[in-house]
Amino acid sequence: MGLTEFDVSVLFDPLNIVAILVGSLAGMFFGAIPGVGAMVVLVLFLPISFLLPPLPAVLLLLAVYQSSEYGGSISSIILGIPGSPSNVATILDGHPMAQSGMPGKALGYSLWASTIGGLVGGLALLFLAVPIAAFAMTLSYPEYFLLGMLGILAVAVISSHDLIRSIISAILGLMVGTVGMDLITGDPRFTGGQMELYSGFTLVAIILGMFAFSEVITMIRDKGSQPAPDTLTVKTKVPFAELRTTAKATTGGSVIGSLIGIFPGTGSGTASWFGYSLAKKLSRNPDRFGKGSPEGIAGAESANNSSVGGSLLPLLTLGVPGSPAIAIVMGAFLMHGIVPGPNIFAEEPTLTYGILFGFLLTSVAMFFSGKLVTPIFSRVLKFPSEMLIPAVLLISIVGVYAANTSSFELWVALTVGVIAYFMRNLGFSLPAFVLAFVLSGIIEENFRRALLVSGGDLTIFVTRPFSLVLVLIIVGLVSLGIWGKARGTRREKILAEVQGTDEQKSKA
Amino acid sequence: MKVRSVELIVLLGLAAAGVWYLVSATSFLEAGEPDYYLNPGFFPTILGCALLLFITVSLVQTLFRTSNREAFPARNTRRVILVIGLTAAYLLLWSMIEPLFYLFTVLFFLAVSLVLTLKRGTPLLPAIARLGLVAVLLTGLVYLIFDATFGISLT
Repeated sequence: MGLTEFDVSVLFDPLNIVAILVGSLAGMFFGAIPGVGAMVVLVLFLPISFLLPPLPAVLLLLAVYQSSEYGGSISSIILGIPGSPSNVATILDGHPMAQSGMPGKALGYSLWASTIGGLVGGLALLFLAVPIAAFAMTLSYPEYFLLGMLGILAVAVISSHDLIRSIISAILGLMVGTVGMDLITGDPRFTGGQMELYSGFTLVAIILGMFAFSEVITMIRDKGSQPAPDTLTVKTKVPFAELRTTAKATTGGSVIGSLIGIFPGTGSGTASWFGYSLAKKLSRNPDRFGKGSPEGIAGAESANNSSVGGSLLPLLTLGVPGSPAIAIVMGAFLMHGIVPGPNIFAEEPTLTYGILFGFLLTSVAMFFSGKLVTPIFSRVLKFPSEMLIPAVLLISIVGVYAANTSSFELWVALTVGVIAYFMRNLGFSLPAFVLAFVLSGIIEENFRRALLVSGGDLTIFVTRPFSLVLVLIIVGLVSLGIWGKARGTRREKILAEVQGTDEQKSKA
Repeated sequence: MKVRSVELIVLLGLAAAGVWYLVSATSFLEAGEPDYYLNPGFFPTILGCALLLFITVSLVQTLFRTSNREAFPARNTRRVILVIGLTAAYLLLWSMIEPLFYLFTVLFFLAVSLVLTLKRGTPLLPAIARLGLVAVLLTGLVYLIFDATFGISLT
């Protein structure tokens, strides 16, 4: 089946439409809550997606992801608190615009830019997925092993300021992934005789524990440190003439966001900063940036939404998720017994093309949902934390149980949540852990099979052209991380010296 | 507690777990095995060694770091411990007496929200009434979504 042969009417099945609409509304609602962010919302919806057939399940998660990226801009713009890391760049101009009495207009710019970004990301996905998948068919075990390693290392280098602890997090993720039956010999490993562990730790328990439970602990810790906003009334209408002034920023942000999303590990946070910088470079009024420039909002928001489409590309074509959030979407595939990768186009054509076209629908649904409910959802910012925290906790607990109806999983999630709380506060990288856990099976199996093919000869990883390219990229990435770390250490030393001098002066 | 102290405790804990993992992994290996890469302990052994190596580097970095004045973030610690305790009690009760899940859920939500709400001088009864109503509504929503819509019995 090709792109043109896909029966688009499949997408208009009531269940698919309901999944997209519910995902859009829920993503926007939860995404608007400061600190919750796309990851937590996706995690909360993962168990629910398990209860649906594969296509609506994936569309639900993609709609949640897209809309929570926009939803995050609501708290960024109105409160100046980012809904998620990918909305930090939006604060720079969104919040000043809101403070100058135009919160609705700022949200309007954000909604338009997010929608256009989402559509451009979707088109990139639609037209690039098939050629990349065809190329991926030529790859073998060594390349898949190296691609998995590259994905994890890219996330490890970017997601934490401490490279060593990020690598430790990734190794821990791989180790947790080895618990259960060996994929090649079938021997049980590290199960401690527990029957529940023979099939390994489940994705839902690990991810909910890592992100939702540890987030709940953080929310309780930070309770009372942020003031609640006053009354909110917002309308997202922006006149067309004003909207046209952001066309360049939106187009640039959308293109760069799609490209950045394709590279494993970069994610929407990085994309939004690139989009913001590009918008500033393209602008005729760069001086207005940081003071409420609509182009600043458009650049950042179009880039973070277009990166969602881009990050789906490596998942569908290579079986390697481009970001931790997409790793959760990969979880939905795996829970339905579908392994993403180049073969998915031949094995599950309706699902794959349904996702490619359905992704465009999620952007459209986000736009109309945003137009309708942004004024109402802005009020979620006033939702009291003493109700929100137990609600998130309860939904997480029931979600873990519903995925496997096992109380053992609940204890795993709670324990993981407490450990993850300490890890995230000590510079360890939770995204690197999760990505490594998800890719653990792929990495180990392809590594061992590559050695089996070569008779134990490790040069197989550098004698094949594409493997060699991947090895060089990995070496470059690690060198970049070490160089960045060295620069950071030097800066820390200078800062410490300056602080010391200041303290001495003040004592004198 | 200082960040460095917590870091050392966590790193040493991870090192202990790493040693256990490595010992378990090497127990699969057999001396002189020709196809060593097919052994279930092969990949975990590499991981165990890598973990211990990087933990050692991180420990050295932590011990020799010059800036270590800041304290580990510990606001609302009592509330955090109480909520974790309540969650553990809820899970325990649910696994022991499954048919009472919905009753436990209402009580759990109410208890956690009260822990987060109550300060000295807060009137107790109005808070219980307001949060109790929310607890019942939310539990009803859980029933509607999971039990009634998707047919997953939580009891």
